[in-house]
Amino acid sequence: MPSLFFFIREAAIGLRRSGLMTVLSLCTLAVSMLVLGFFLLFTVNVNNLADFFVSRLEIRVFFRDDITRRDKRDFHTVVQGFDTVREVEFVDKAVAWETLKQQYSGTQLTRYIDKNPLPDTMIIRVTDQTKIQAMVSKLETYTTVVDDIVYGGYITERIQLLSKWLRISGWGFNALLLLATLMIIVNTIRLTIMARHNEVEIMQLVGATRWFIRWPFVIEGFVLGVVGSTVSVVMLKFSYDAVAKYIQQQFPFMPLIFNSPILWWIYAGLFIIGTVLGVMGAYISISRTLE
Amino acid sequence: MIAIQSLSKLYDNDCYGLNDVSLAIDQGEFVFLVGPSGSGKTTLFNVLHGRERPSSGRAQVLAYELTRLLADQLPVLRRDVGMIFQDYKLLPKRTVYENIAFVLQVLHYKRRRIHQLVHQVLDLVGLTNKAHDYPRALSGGEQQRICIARAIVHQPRILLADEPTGNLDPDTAWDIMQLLGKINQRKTTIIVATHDWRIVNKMRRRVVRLMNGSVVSDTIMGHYA
Repeated sequence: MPSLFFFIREAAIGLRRSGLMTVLSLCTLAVSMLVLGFFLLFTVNVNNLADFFVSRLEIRVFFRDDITRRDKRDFHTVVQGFDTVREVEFVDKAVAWETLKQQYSGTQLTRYIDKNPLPDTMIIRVTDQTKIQAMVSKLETYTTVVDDIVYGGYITERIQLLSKWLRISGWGFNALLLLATLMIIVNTIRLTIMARHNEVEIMQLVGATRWFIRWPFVIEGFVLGVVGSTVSVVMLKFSYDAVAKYIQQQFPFMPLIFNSPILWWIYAGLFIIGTVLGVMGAYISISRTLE
Repeated sequence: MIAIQSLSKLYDNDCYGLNDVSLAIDQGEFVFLVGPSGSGKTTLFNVLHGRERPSSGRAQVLAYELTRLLADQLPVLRRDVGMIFQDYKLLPKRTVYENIAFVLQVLHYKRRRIHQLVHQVLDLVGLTNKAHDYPRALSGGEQQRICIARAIVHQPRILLADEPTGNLDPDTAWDIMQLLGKINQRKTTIIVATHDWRIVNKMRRRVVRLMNGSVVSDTIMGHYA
């Protein structure tokens, strides 16, 4: 078996001699990976946005007026007993009324409402938003303490459902896109190999084994994958940073992903996927040609 | 060396490429395969070179039974059976030297040995000074000589030449046949498929005549009218 160096040299010769096809394959691979990368970033940002909204969901428990301080403390202990509780905040009705009056200081609020109508409130934030409904059902049984519970029931369910479907459809779309990218890359490399069909035929006619013929093409696919995905990752990083910065300036409340390890995972993943697709594309193409 | 018994090749359209062909060729023989277009010459070459599988019969080439040839035996068979094509099939983006050296690289020869053998064979075909030219810079006769050099550089035991003079003028064609005769003197078995009756009649070698896929005559020192 000839050395790896021989195959690398043959691959380099092949890439150099079919210069235009090499450049076209590189561009196709880079653009395909760029599109895939763009949709991956879009998906993680949409998921992040959904998580952001869901994480802000909270339960507001309004206490009855006729209960004692001890009742509230006991109820607080009960609430702390739930393992999904992240944070409990008690809002005294006097403090809430003062806050409300300040917020509406320019209005005639106190002229029409002279007595504080607000109840003492407990705000509960949870660690797992999917457990909100179950928790509310349990809290509602404490009828001697609880007057009402507000948690945006219907909206919570809708947001959770939307988040779930965004997640599934996002990843599903990305899986399809990955398949499409593989097909594009396979067919592009196939065109490159078809342009060198004579070379492959002559190799077969002079007694080259299948692996002897495959190796240089697989190495070419590897090089195309590495270079193409590097180009796409660099372009993606700079364009994402610029676009995300612009959106952040225009819409500061938008929770975009910045400087997060997930971005680096995506860039590394794209590089690996591009390289693997380059190798797979070349392998599939040359194997089909050899058939 | 080559033993063919009742060999047939039936295509999907129910046409016979070869029909009950029997033939034996010994080592070192020089055989002309003649007959009109469609008589089965190229089909027989394709079978002997492993490009087509026969439908029935037996075909033994060296140690290989072609009707039962395994996929991984095909490259090994082809290293023992060189092929010369009418359209040369040279790699246009490789130099003359690289085209010939390529076969030896496939066979894992060392670089120094490759250099030595390529120069020897270029000397034999008389094109030492063209080693670094590209095929497009050569005449038809020169390209055919390179094709021959490539086919014999690894010293196969059998050489199949499919219409090697088909695209050449009579003088160049005769030069090519002289060259094949010289290679035959080294005990390489040579089978030439041709339409060129002048060359066949001038060379006076064994002539196997095919018609509609069957052997109709087989004569030593034969001629072709």
